[in-house]
Amino acid sequence: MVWTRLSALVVKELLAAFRDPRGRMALIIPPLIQLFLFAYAATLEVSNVPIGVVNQDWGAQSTQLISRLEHASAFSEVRHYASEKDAQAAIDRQDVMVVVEIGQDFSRKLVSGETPSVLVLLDGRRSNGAQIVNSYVNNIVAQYAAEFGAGRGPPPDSAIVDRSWYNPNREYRNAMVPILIATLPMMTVMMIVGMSVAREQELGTFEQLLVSPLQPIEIVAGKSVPGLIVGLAQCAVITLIVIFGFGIPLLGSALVLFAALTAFLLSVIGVALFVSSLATNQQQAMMGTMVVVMPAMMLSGFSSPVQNMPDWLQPLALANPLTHILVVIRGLFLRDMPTLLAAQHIWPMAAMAVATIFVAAWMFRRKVQ
Amino acid sequence: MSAPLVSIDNLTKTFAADAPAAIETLTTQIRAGQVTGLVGPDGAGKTTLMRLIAALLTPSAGRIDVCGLDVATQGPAIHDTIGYMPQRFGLYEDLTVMENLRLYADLRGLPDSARHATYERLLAFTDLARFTGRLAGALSGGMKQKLGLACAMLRSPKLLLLDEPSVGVDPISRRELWRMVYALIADGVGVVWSTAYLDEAENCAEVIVMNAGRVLYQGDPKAMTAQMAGRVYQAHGAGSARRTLLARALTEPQVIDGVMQGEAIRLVMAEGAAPPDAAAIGAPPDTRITPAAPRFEDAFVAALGGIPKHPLTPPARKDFSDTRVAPVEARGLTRRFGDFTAADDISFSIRRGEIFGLLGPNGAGKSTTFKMMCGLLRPSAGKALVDGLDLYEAPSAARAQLGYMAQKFSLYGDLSTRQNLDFFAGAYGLSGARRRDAVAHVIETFDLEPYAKTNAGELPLGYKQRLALSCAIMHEPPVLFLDEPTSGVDPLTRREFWAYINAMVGRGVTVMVTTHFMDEAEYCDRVALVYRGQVIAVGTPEDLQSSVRSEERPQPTLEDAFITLVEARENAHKEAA
Repeated sequence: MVWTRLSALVVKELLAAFRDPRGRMALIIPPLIQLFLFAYAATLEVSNVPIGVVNQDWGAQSTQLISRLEHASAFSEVRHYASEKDAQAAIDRQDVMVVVEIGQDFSRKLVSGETPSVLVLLDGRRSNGAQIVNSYVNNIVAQYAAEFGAGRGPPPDSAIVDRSWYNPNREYRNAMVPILIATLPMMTVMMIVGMSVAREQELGTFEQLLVSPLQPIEIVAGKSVPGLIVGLAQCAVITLIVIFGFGIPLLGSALVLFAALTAFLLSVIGVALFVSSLATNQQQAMMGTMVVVMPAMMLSGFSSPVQNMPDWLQPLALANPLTHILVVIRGLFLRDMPTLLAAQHIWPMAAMAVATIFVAAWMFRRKVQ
Repeated sequence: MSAPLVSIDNLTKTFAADAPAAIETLTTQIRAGQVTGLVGPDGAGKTTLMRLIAALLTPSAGRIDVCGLDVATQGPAIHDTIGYMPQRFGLYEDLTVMENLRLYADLRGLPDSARHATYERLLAFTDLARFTGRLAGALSGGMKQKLGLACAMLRSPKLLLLDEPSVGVDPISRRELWRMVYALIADGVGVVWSTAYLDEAENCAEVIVMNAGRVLYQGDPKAMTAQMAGRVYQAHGAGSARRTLLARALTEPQVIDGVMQGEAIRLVMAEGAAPPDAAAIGAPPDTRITPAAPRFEDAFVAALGGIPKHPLTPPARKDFSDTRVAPVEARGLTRRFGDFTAADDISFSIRRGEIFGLLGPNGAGKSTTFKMMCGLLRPSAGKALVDGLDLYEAPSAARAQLGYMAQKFSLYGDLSTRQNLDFFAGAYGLSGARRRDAVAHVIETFDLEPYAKTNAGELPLGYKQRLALSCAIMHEPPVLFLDEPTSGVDPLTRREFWAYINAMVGRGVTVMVTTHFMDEAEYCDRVALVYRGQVIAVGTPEDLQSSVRSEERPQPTLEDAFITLVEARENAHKEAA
């Protein structure tokens, strides 16, 4: 009896999502577009940017340094400016975001064994990109100075050699693209689950459900299962594109990945149901979804590490299912994260799922008051 | 007779090349200083005609002149001279009454100097002055319509177009709307009032009866009604057999229309036919058949060719004549919202095979009571029982015993007819062969096969009604709850609907219906009148009518009874206060 009612509800939800061609497209096309946009456009790497140079030194050393900058793959060209004033104007016009100014005594100091200084002007308006370019420039200058010194005086005491474990080439894409396996289906599931209850309330069909023998927990289950099916299908498709389309290997276990994704999606469904139980129409549900999704993204370590957040914010980040799934996905893609370690992140998501789904069921019960 | 305000000449409107014309070669005139009724079933083209006159649509062929202006070329000038109130007037529900008025004054460019006087006049006219600070969304149906009317009248229009203004409005507010409209025509305004409620047509000086984009009749409604003289009869005294009697009478070729009127049935005969013969239609021996005064509705149904002769009577499947417990019972139902008591100690018991009506003006507590009986609203005190099961102690089991049909169409519009049926059968726990059987049965009974694959949202109105009822009865509930089931539905669809309900009641199904639509109340065996949260009268429609019979009103209608009883209670309340 319960199964009959439940399966009727699940079939109805899936039909409602897929019967309308526009609805069907809405589940398939936007996530794919976002996947490719994210992978290609929203890159944090800096490459092919012009760099400005003001060279007031006529020595051979400064010319050597500039030629190194010219050969660096990060920079498309080196633009020469006659004075600091010209360079400043170029930064104002946003022609370049970094200008390297080499002082008059650069070559002299270098030859005489003193420490020359190089001024780097950064466009603070584009702080992120400028910082990255700055570090490139620093590397090149330091390397040049070290090599120049090596031929002459005593070698420096120590040199820092860095290796990026798990992402040896520091490919931005390998770190960023796999997390779309969680974030894109999260948006879809939030939308279809969050809106479906609100839509039924608007149409008056929710009352039809409430007068039928369906129990609140059955309605919640009937709304959750289709969301889970659609969400997991999207996860699977995106995973395949990530592995075979972008050539990012999955080093860990696919089974653990999908176990984690299931727990994650269930917690998202619970939150979506909770939001929709508060909303009385689709507009409110949409707003509620946005109110939840944006902070969830920011608190997840999606773009900045959780460790950098203030102490009082960190517990909130740990209560965010997205934080945990990102750790698991990065762990499984970039290295073979041990199952035990993954489990430590799966159980908080499962706990969130159970809690939010039961709160949502309780809220639906209260609707009949 | 005054000069025409609107003249329509050979008007045709088509929306798509392959679709039939919404309006076909229509020629008519609308005069100032009177109410012109625009009457017709759903899809007759009433709204299209209104929108064409309001210069919101352009004619495909032909010409309309409004106050001497051509709608095709002088739309903006027409908008300045007329007022138009669409079916769902665009009130902003999150704004107050006053803010809505101000907004529409801005939109219609009312000069600042005229505003204050206009607001005062309209608020006094619509009696909304006490509610200026209330949100429009919190107004009752009748008050919303009054506010809509006020907004449409901001520029003192010469012509006022009202599209079904009385849908969802209780009889008392409806009379007030009419009073307001009569005050307007006294000032020389021309009013067009479209309606599916035919008793309203009798209030009009002139009616235009439309069907399928054509005019069937234009002129004095009384003249149209008079054509029916000698063709209308009432059969009294059939008692509990009257429903089967009506169903049988309707199969007679000579009977073109028949409805319930409380304990009597009303029959309309074909032109030139002999009076109905009690024996021939199998009436019980003591049935008296008497001639009755014709109504406009009789003439209207006759003009549409009578009701369709393919009665869809659901064959008996399950008998519910077990009478041990009352199928529906309210015991001291009370519901408080804060300080406000919406329902106060409401008790009634419905007998098996009875149609029981909950009547009352908007906001009287009728919907609150109905919701508590359906299990949609938890009572503050008291019990709601269905088949002896408490809806709040054994919700799932009690709900399985009832079928529910909501006021507005509330099925899944983007699923097909068959998918809707499959879903509701499943939601009520029918599986496998039982589900297939139940779905096949309603598809056959309600003739839904041609529309099985059509999206429910795209069905014609009559089929939507059939589908909604099908979804409610597939699990064969002994109790059926209907919330204003035929509000805003044309007379033919309404008759068809009640024919099903009558057939089911004949098998022992118990029906509870809320309505403020008197034609629906006439189908009830007993009605309870709810006012200020209390049941102020219970009885058969005749009981209620005879309780208000007086010297000046020897033949009160049910609507008269409704209004008199409510007003009497209101006066008693005022004296006590």
